[in-house]
This record gives sequence, C-alpha cells and structure tokens, in this order.
Amino acid sequence: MPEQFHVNLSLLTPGQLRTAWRLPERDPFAYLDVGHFRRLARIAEDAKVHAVFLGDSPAAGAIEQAPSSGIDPPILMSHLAATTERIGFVATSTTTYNHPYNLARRYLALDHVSGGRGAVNFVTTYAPDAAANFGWAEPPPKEERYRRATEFLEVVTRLWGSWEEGALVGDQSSGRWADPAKVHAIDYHGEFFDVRGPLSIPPSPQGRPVIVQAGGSEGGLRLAGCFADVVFTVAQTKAKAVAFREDIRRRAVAAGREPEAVKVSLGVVVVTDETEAAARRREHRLYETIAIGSATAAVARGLGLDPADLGPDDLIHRGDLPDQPAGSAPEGFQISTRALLEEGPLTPRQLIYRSAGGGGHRLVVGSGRQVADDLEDWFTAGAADGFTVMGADTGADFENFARHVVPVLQARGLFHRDYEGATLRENYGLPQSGQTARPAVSNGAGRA
Amino acid sequence: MPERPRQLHINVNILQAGVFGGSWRFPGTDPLSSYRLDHYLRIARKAEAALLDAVFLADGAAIRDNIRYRPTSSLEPTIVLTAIARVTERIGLIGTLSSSFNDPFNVARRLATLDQLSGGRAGWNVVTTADAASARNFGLDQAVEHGLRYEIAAEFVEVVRALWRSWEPDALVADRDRGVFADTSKIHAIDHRGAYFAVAGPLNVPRSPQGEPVIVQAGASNDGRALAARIGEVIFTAAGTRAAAQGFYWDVKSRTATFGRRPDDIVILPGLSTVVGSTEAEARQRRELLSELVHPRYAIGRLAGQLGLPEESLALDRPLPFDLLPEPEQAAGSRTFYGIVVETARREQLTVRQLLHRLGGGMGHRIVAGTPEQIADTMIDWVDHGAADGFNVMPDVLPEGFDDFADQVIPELQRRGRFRTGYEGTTLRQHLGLREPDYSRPGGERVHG
Repeated sequence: MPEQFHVNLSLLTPGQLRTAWRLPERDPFAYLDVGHFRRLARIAEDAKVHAVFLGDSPAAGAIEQAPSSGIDPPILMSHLAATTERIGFVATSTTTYNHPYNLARRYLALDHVSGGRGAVNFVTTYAPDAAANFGWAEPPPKEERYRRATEFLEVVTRLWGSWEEGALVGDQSSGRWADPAKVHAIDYHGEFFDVRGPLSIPPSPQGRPVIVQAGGSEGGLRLAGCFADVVFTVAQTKAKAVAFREDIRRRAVAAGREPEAVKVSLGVVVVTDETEAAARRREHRLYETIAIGSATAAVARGLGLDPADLGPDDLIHRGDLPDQPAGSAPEGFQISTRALLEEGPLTPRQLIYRSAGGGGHRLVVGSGRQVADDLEDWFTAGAADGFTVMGADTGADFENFARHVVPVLQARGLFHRDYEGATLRENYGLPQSGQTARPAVSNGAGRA
Repeated sequence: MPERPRQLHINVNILQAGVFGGSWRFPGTDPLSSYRLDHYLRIARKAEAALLDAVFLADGAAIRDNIRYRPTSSLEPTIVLTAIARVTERIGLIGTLSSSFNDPFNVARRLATLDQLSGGRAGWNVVTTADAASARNFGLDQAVEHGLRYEIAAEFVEVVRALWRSWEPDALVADRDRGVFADTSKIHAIDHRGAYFAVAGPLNVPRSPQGEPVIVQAGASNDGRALAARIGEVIFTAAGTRAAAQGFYWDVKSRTATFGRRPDDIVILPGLSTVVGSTEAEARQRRELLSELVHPRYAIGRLAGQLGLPEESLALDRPLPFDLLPEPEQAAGSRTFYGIVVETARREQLTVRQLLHRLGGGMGHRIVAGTPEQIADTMIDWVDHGAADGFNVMPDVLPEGFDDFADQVIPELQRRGRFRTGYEGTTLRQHLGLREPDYSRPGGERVHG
C-alpha cells in the first residue's frame, strides 16, 4: 500500500446537503456563479488537492426546494483550467444521452486545454426526467444502459488511441504536418454505435483523459475493471469498503491489468471547522434547513419503499426492504444503506442526518484533526486509495477542509506537500499512458 | 450633428496557424499551435484589446483535410471558448456546433453555460455538416441529404431556443423562510414533439445577461438562405466579388419580412482573408510566399475534392475541365465554395495553376493583400455599397498576421470613424447591435413591439 492517498474535492453547490442554501450567510445562487467556482478551484489548488469534481444529470431535476444540476460540467472545468496550473478536473457526462465521438473529442480537447489534467466520470444516468429530454418515454433498462456504456467506452478509448506516437510531425521545411500512416480508422461496428474514426485530435500531454467510473451495480463494476483509472464508490462501513477495493483490484487483474492501475476513491461527506464544537454547531444548523417530509420521501423511494407508509421517525429494518435493490435509484447508494441496516434498524431521520441529506455517503463531522484521524483510519485499513470529499455545506466545508484537514494530513505524511507532476495521471500515480482492457462482455463486434 | 457613419462589425476566425494551406510553414510560426491553449488565449486577448466583436472557432467532427500537408479541425470550440472567457471580459465568443450530430438539449445547455460563464458573450454558428467523413463517425455512410439536413436544423434550433426560454427571469426566488428555492410555475416544460426531436425540458440553466446566445448561420444555398432569414442573427457568408456579396446581402435581408423580422435583425459578415503589408509590394511578396508554402499535391487534391473531380482530370496549365464538373448537388462538400471556385475560374478564364494560386490553399473566401489603408478601403467600400455589415476576418498567419491586422487596420478604421474606440456594451448582442429576444410570450417566438 502506498503511504499517501489522493483527495478530490467536490464542487457540488450548495453541497451534499442541498438545502444548505437556506443558511443566511450563503449565496443561494452560487451554484450558477462562476466566481464561486473560480474561488473554489483556487483554494483547492493552493491546498494541492488532486482534482475538483462535479457530478451531473442532464435535466432540471427537482428544484422547488433546492438547486439541482446546473451548468455543464466540462464547460465549467475548461473555464477553471485556463487559470490554474496543476489541479485536475473530473467532470461527469452520461453515456446514455451522448455520442462517443462527441465526448471523446470534447474530453480530449479539455485534456489539451488543461495540459493533461482532464478526467471524465462516465455515468449511465437513471433519472427519468433526463430520458425525457432525449426522446425517451422512460430511461432504457439498467442492463441496456450498461451494455451501451461498455460499447461507448470501447469506442472512446479506441478513438483516443487512434493516433500513434510520432503521428504528429510539424516539419516546416519538408511541409509534412502529420504522418497519415500513423493515424488509424477504428472501424467500430457494434450494437449501438458505428464509428469510423480516427479522432480529429492527437493524444494529449497525459495521453488521454483519466477515466472515472462510479456505478456500483454489477454492470458498473465490470466496466470499472476493464476501463476505469479511478472508481468512485460509496460505503458506510469499513468492511464493505475494504471488500469493494479488493473486488475492484481482482477485476482489474482478471482483465489483464495491474492492480495499481485502478484507484478506488471513496466518497465521504465532511462537516469540519476549527473545533469539534464549531463543526457540531454547523451540523445542527444544517439539519434545521432540511424539509424532513420530502427528505423522508426521497429515502423511501431510494430504498424501494412506499413514501406514504414511512414517517421520518419510523424504524426501517433490513427485512422491510425488497429483495433486490430498486431499479429506479443508484445501486451503490442502496447497497451501502442496506449494509448499514444490517447492523440494526434506523429511522429515515437518522439515515438523513448520517449522510447529510440522505445521499448515502458517510458523514464525518469534527475538527481538522478528527477528520484526518478518520481518513487515516480508513486508508490504513485498505478501504481506499483516496477520498472524494463532499462538503455537506460547500460554501464553508470546501475551504475548511483545505485549511483545517489538509495541513494535518501533510504533517502526518499522508498527503503530498506538492504535486508530483504536471498531469493528473502523474499526480494520481497512474500508469503513464493509461491501461484499458477489452471487456469480457464484448461480443467481439467491431474488432479492427 | 452629422449622422455617425456606419460602423463595421469584425470577428477574427482563429483557424489553426492561419487560413492558408501553408500558413503553418510561415517563418516564425509554431506548426502545432492549434493544440496549445496559449495560442487561442493570446489571439483572443489581442482581439479584445482591438475591440473586435468576437472571436470565432469553426469545427467539424472528423479529420476533413489532408493532414499530410496541413493542420485540420482541432479542439472542440465550446471547450476552447470557455477557457478564453476566463481571461477576457468583453469580446464575443462564437463557436460552431453541428445540428446533425448532437442532441438539442446538450447543445442548448452547453451554450447556455458558456453564455452564463462569459456574462452574455456566446454565439452559436449552426452548421448542418455536409461532409461524409463526419457522417461516418456517427453511424452514417454519407451526410443526410441537403434539404433534409436543413429541415432538421430548423427544428433543432427551434428546440434549443425554446429550452433557452424555458425559465422566466424571476423564476429563482430563494425564499429562505419558506424553504422555497424556485417558483416552478415560472419554469416551463417545453414538451416539444416534432418530426425529428422529442424534448420535454425545461433546461437546467437560466437565462443569461444577454437573454440567450446569438444565432449565427452560414450557407448560401436556397435552404441555407431561408434558414438564415428565419433564425439567423449573424450570417457568415463567402463572396468573391462585391456584386455577388450585394446580391446575397439584398436577398437575405429582403427575405426577413417573410418571417416577421426586420433587415437589421441580421448582421451579414462575409469571410475576408487578410494579408497585411506595410507597402503593397510587401503584401504581395508575403502573399507569394504563402502560395509557395502550399504543397502542390495538397492544393490539387483539395481542389479536386471540393469540385468532386478525380485528381487526374486537373492539369496545372489548362483550364478547369468544366464539362466534367458534377452538378453542385453532387459535389461532396460545401455548395457555397463549389459555386465560388467554379465561378471565379470561369469568369477570369484561369488555368488550374492560377486558380490554385488565387485560392492559396485557403477556404475559398476572398483574399485581400495590401497596406492597412487599402484593406480598410475595401472593407468600407463593401459596407457602404450594401455588400456587408462587417467581416469575419481570417488572417493569413496566426498569431502574427492578426497582430498586424489589429495594430494597423483597426486603427485605420477608427481614424475614419468606422470602428468603435471603446466597447459600448458588455454582451455580444450589444456589440452587434442586436436586440434581446422578446420574452413576452414565454417559450414562444420572438414578437416585435
């Protein structure tokens, strides 16, 4: 196990707790304010954080009570890249409602613009309102979404590999700009896509963007084993996290990759401040912003229960849940919550408080030292290669993490004091050109 | 007070290392500049210092040129423009996005995001993407038929605009006491169900400081002109002669009435490739050098491709084989450039060699080589004779040729009172003198007051 871990900071605003905008000191419209994001990127780079991250869904979402998805992540990230030097950018895009040629090109462009600091978090998007923006009455079934995602990644990675090293010549005296013999069509023919290629852009300073995968279902894990450089995951118990990391590493090896070629980044929600008491005070003020009724209904829906039957203080037992995770919510969230309930019944209110709003990620509240203790404990247990830290209240917790937690981690030698290299791949400690394998689920269609 | 003489609108088109086939070989040029962000940022900063209306980035979804001999389409425009927005404050940001190989929701959102981040400086050049190479990257053997592409484009733009208008300006209320963030009665589904797209909406990005991005359109065919008159706010065009430009200008402006629009709702900007010299002889020399830097094999291949002819049918010292030319509909690429090339060769009775020299491995746009005074003369002449409202300038060499344009031609236009000496507004719409859309009917068409 390496001695240091990576940290990504989530730009999600107002925060993992979506109702944090109600705090009087917050700008409720910060999630649309580019000045806010510029400031966060600056703070993160000063703290040597590996990357900033933004999740996404291509739909307006439920915004009556709180901000939902807003501006387009890769467009925001390229904007932030223009005046930063080292920090990486992890933007989210869906494979269900995009075309692989477009995303391959857009993210490789981001990778050029940022000098090799780009990453794409591929998701398959289960949200029904997103489907309706792309001509679908309802989202394609999960199994189909992952079949499409697998093809999508195969096309994208082949396009990113369509220029051999040395293809770009740029010799002014002979007039040879490129060597077309080293630029190859991919001639992909699959169930979902037929793509001739090659891509119109050569490789970037880090070869190609870092690939992140976040789905916790079997389809997502298979995809991660083959393609992902980094896997985002959610776990409420250390044992689950350790088992998950071992599973991912096994899958990578089974796909013919090095176990170190895949980094597990564990999501954790943080409320931190100068002292534990200050953090606890903020935590309780944050709870007061929650509309408990609708948050309870969201928990019920996420677990496949009927919202009408569930009050905020009713105990949920593991046995109350349907046998299989509901198809309508992210499986990673459901698995982590089920694991939690196996240890004893909890009420919706407890689940909501425990994950700062009910998103399923583990909440850590405390001083910088306490948060550092927690992360160190999980890291040394083999639960993760690093953490994707989400502020419960981004307006405070993002900067507080940089100011109070990072220096403690650095003093303990758990976090780097400076960036190792110029590219995100170097800073994550990933193999240089990126390593992907052909997915075992591929039916062989489209082989060049 | 005398009326202020007509002001020119000027964009710079950042085409790799310059518009010509040999630009990247020009002494002092970085041959790989089109993959470096600094190249774009430097030119954009210079353009802003020179008070231009906008920078423009063209695009295509394939390698569409012979990369043996020259750079091809490069970084995706919205990604580069948002980076430019970070280091500039006023200049407009126009990018090409295809209506044939995208989803309207994604395009609406990306452009609305660019418009938000830049404080209202975004413009969208709607193209239908005619080339087969792009089509093959999206599961087609060849581009969709011309008329159908324009039909799809018209619906695409309609959907994008409806999404841009799906939020009323005061939809976000952020009432902390009641815990109400948005007044959802002011955020409207668009529930579009058309022949080509079904999109529920609403968008997830509110209106920008300029209301919504400016719609730019190019395309000189009958379908293209009709679309321009219906939805275009800026029209990019290519014209080799003033007379041809006048014909186009008059035609598009007079078609606006059909769609309940006014002639000055549209700003027409022909492409203009510029070669600036301190003397006429120096400019001509520079132009010669740029022609010599184009590899002859490349030039012939490109011309043959543009015209849909086999390479062997072109002999350097003979005229174009007019009898072998396919109908414009059958030519592979853009009809606009096909028309210009054939017309020029016929009118001036040029040999292939002379024609190639004339084109310079460029895009087929008009090339003007001369002193700053001469270039200013011809620009003003076109604007004063109803041929243009300004120009989409394609410098011969980037960044150097644009530096010359910005440092020498722009001040000349300013001395003559034909170009702004300071930005009067903050948005692209304001720079272009375009009105904000009328939102009196949410989600509906523009209504004139």
